[in-house]
Amino acid sequence: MRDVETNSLWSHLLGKAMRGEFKGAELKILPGVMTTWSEWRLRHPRTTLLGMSRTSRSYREAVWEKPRRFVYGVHLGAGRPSPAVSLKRLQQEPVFNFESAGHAVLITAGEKGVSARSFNRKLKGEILVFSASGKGVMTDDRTSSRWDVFTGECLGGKLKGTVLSILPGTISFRTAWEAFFPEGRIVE
Amino acid sequence: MKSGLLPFLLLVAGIPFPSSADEFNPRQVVKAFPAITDPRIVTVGEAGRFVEGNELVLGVVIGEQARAYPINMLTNPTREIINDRLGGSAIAATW
Repeated sequence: MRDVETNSLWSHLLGKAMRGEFKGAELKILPGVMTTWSEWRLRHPRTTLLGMSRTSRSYREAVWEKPRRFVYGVHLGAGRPSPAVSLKRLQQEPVFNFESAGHAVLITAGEKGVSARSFNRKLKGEILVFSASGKGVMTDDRTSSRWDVFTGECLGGKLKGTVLSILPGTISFRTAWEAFFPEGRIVE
Repeated sequence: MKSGLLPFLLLVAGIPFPSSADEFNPRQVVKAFPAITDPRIVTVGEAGRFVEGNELVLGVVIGEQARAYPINMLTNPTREIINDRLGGSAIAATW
């Protein structure tokens, strides 16, 4: 993509200007999620919506029925490896702990992989391991506190009120992610 | 990078140019389209005309404000970048 101001060329996947006056500049990648309208609206009752005409009709929940086409990739920051996990794996293990280049990462997802998002599971120097413990809830292995899988907030137990910090990430077509991060690891 | 530049924040999803990150020499396959800078935004109450429950959206929360960008509105080259403002921040939703 280009910016109007300087015509610099940016990679939208990296969030970085690759050529032109802004070369090297990085945009802050926001913790957006990909999900269905139903699921989003349920959790954000006062949400607003982009109201343009449709350019297609085919991007619906059924897309997740071919999970091998997709990965969830994590942005660990400039110069750091960007690991990814296959959507199929996340559908099987919707509370997924792993490590990459010293980062303790947690990826959570809803049914079929909706609203996949990533968190840093290192808290005050300690690394927590999470496991699913009910619909939308997970527990950690240190204190058995209960956490919301979508917000990363501790709902009850010793760590109640604590919120895991979000790591930016995105659902991506697998081929795209491999093209931009050829050295990156994909966990299958 | 100019220090005065507002944080230009980015939702990311979709297919990039057909080249690796190291050699960024994208082929220009379409002309540069006008930037979308003032997109129409509707409320939940109005949403029924625009989107169905099982359609995929990119969702983001900034501060107290949540917004969804239906993928089925972004899949044309003219639509792949939506410049928007949310929760006091200048953001770009991209596909």
